[in-house]
Amino acid sequence: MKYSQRPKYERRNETIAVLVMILLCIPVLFIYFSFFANAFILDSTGELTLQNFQFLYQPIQLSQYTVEPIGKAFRNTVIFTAIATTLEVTISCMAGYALARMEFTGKRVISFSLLTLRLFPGVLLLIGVLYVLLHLGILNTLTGVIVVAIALRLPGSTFIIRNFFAGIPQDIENSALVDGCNRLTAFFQVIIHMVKPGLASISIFAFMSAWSNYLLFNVLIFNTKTPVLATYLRVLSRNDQMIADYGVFAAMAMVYMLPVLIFFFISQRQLMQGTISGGKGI
Amino acid sequence: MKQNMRQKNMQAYLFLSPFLVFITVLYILPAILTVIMAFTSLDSAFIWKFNGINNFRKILMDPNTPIIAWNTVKYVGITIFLTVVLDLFFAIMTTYFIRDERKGNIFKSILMIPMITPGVVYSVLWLWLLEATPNGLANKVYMALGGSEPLNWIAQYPFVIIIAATLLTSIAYGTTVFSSAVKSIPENQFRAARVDGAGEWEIVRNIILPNLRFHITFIALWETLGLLTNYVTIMLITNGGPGVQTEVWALSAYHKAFSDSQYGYGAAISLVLIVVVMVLMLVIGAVMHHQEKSRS
Repeated sequence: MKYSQRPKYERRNETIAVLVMILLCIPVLFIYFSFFANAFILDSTGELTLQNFQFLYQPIQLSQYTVEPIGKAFRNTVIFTAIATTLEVTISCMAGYALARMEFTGKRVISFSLLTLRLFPGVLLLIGVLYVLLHLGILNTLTGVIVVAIALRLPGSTFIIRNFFAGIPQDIENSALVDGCNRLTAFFQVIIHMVKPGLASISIFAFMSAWSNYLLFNVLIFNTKTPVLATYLRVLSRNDQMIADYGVFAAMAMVYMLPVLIFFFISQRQLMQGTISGGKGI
Repeated sequence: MKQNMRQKNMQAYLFLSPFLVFITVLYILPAILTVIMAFTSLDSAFIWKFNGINNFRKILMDPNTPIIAWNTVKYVGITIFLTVVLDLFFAIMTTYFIRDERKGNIFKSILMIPMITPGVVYSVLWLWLLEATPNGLANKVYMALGGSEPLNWIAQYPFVIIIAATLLTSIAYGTTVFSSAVKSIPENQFRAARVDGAGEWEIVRNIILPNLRFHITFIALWETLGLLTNYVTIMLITNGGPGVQTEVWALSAYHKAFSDSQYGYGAAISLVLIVVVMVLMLVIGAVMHHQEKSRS
């Protein structure tokens, strides 16, 4: 219904609601803006500056610590996020397809475990995971964190994408099969295109959670040889001692958050849809 | 026919094998290990030595246990209640009162910002906001409103702060779910109510809330599960302190296992929580089953 055609009380309510929401959102936005504004202010004098961004290309001195430039941590984060996201999406897609579309022995058991695992918080098992990684010889490595990050999110993504596959009419697949496709070619040429919204939403969740992950690096990596952005920033802002001043930290945080924000603005709609279809959040 | 079935199985398990490998090695195996570890005195030397139920006895004897348990109940209870209330408020505001989807989505996106902020940044944002000096933003506001001395917020109100910080990150999920539920209520229900002379409050109470009944139950249970097990926000802001004032059950398992390397003891603490989580999962399963039945 056009705005001008709607009843008067509805328009009045909408105006009030918009005003209330603006009032409630302002503090949050204000806090974020003031925090990130620190990045451009020199802590000692208060003047505008880009000096806080020196960590981008050279080592910087913060009280008695020398901080390496951010490059290595940034590269590790990109590698980690790219591999974890790709593998998570691929593996959950394959499993989701089989569970939605194929008949096989043991389907009931696996479907039921998927439902259970989707609800079960994997972080409770980290102590056991640590031991498994130790035995596989990948504790303390990026590979180790990647496989754990994938595993913890697999049940959730598989569950979402399975529901998308289940929503495709069987006829479409049958006609692809009749037209000379086998299961694999039908999957890649026809079916995969029909679940694009689902793929988009699980990819977004996978990306966001990989990029911001801190816990797994904290628990599974014990040295500073494999820094990622999360641990790089955390070292400078421990609870007992804030090493970086807020100017430098805000500058780093900005570099860290920029990809997330860009991604967020591009993908808001899918993010909301994904949330509705049962995403576990980030 | 038999040949056919075998071929089908081959094909399906080809698709499933990576999934099954990951799940077996990193879910099922660790689950079994955690249960076994809970009955050992495993530490950083990784020597398996069974000590029966000693770990559980230790949990019961620890004077901090009742405090941590009570903290967990308080933290989860208060946060859940406020989350559901705020979710409902924001969903109704942005979907029912603001009919323009574009405007509603802008507000919902703003609510998502805390959720997408990486934990290490989000926590420092709070530390910066609540800085104990007169330069801290919260203190500036406080003193402008007539406060005499700058407050050390985190030392004085640690519990309120971790609840507020968690609350802000958890609003987006429920709001989105409730909002899509509000959207799916047929418009003529509202119109009929208005013809009968119902006010907005009555519409919210008698039409929207009953329509959202299952969603509310689901979100409440789902968020409880998350809050019981997600300790990253607390860890990054107060790390359980001062003392054990904000220590919750999951965080204490983390501290025992990963800060003190008492893997066996940490596993025992986790196992207690795992049992609670399993009970909760049964309830969620029952609720979802009930919902499906009443839909069909």
